[in-house]
Amino acid sequence: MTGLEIGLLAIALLIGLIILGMPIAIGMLIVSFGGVTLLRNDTVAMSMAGAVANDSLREYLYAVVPLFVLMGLLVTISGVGKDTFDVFQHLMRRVRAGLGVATVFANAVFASITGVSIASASVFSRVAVPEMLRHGYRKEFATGVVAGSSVLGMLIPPSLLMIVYAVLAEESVGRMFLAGILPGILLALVFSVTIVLLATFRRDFVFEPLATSSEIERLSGFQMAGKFVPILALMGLVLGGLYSGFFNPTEAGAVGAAGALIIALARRSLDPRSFWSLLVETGQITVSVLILIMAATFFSRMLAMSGLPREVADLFLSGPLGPYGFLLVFVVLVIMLGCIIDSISIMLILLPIALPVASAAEFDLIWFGVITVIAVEIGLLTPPFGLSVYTIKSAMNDPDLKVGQIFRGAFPFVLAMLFTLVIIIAFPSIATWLARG
Amino acid sequence: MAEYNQNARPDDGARIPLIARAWGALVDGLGALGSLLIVALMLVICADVLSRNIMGSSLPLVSELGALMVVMIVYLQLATTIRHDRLARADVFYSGFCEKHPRKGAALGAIFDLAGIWMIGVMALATLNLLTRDIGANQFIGVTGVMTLPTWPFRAAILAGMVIGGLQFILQLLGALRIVIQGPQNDRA
Repeated sequence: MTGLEIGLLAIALLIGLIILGMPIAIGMLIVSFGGVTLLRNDTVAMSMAGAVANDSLREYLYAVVPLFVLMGLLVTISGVGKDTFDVFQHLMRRVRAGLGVATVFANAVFASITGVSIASASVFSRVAVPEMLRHGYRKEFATGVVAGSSVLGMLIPPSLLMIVYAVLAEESVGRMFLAGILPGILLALVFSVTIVLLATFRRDFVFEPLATSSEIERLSGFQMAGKFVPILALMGLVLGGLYSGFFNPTEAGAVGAAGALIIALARRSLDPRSFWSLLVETGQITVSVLILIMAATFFSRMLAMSGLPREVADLFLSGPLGPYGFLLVFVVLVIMLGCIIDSISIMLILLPIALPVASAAEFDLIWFGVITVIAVEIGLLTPPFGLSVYTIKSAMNDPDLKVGQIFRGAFPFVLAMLFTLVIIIAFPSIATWLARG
Repeated sequence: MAEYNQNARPDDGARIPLIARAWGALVDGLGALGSLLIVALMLVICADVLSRNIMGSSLPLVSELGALMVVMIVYLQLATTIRHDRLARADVFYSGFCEKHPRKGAALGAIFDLAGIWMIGVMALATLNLLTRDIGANQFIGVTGVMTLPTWPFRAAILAGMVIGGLQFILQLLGALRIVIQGPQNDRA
């Protein structure tokens, strides 16, 4: 067998194993081990496995993963999400479908202090959905807004997906974080416009037929400040520290986690037991992510050894498709895989092949990363396995709410994301301006 | 008869849960240690930031130590992650299949466990070689004369984490094989 055939076989086998339900990291390790054994011999495969297992995770940078996960879980438990929503609810009280818009912006702000979409989805399905239902919004729409806006969590820093991308692309994590800010704001704006347009032209999609709009509670300036100051302080600490170069990403994670811990303690939302279970949860998320990264390191070394990425690059760049043809194929592939597997795994499987092509095509890899993250996030909202949608379903705990309803409610936001993706592809500087500036 | 089945092998009944409990405590205890390391990591890095800004100099070894702590966190928690089925997998097919065909599902699970045992075994063997090399060559991190740490204790902890993770996979393999042979048990507790 040629190297090319071995590479292709490994990918096909891996996707087959993943669909059957093998733990993704184990699947990656096994096809990589088999691939290297075929390409070289089992001694080489063995020593590569040992090197990967021992050294690929030994990076100071990877400490960002547990630290930002810890920070995200701490702000989730301390009720900061509800406060953010209260503030935006107050600010948006005169806007049409203002609660929907408030949910989007509250998510955008909350996203800047957590790095996981799933955290946002579960917080806001408990905070925002009941409030929207009370004000006559339809359940489909209310849950759809939460699902849609939860994807902002992965685009606006800190973001787990950006970290993973930065690692794979050998870009700086700090730059990738900055690259996500403007696209995140753009996406939030596009979402808001979508909501207002829907409320104007498709009223029946947004509101119940006999909706009576009740008054929204007003907040005094003092109450607003009390709710918003902790969030702004954390945002300033993390984003400001990163942007000014005062912290590297790992330090921003540690300081952010410590800040979130102080907020949680100050609000008395932590008791020893809940803190402990939060730590255990942090550990389990960390391990499942880092083990995947470890396995993916082996996988991408095996693929590089097979020569497949170079062949794929030749195929696209010298053929009739060209760089933008490749980009189109890549985005479609990412969205399709998003229907089956989780975001991080998609990036770990596809990027070892796509990144060499992207750099051969002389794409800006920061821009390419933002595109990848948005495309991956679309998969969180599309049937049959949109992860955000299932998180909302389980957080809502409402037997009358069907998963299909949430998918329908989220569909306008999928279109909005595609639209944003096209804009960012057309105007790369939206992604690169802050990062390269 | 079905009721009797739940208490099959009564002479083992008293012993096995104790061992199982002790094993569970070991696995989850190591996981807890890993969780504590995350807090320690946070404190060490915050201390580094403070010392850099107040005293004008970084603490020694923070980045090397931080890197090693990440590896430790992962391998200390490997077994508990396996035990609580938190290794990421796609759920397109597997859980539905297990529900419909418990026996065939268990057989499929057993194959996954075998794959896990094989891979962890390979990595553990390779790590064992690295460990003997580390001890032989007195490998350390840091700068000679300022502050150094030998690497072998970390390597040994990594190896221990792998071995315990591998054993956890073996236990799960045995459990799955029991379902394949005897059919699904009613004792879901």
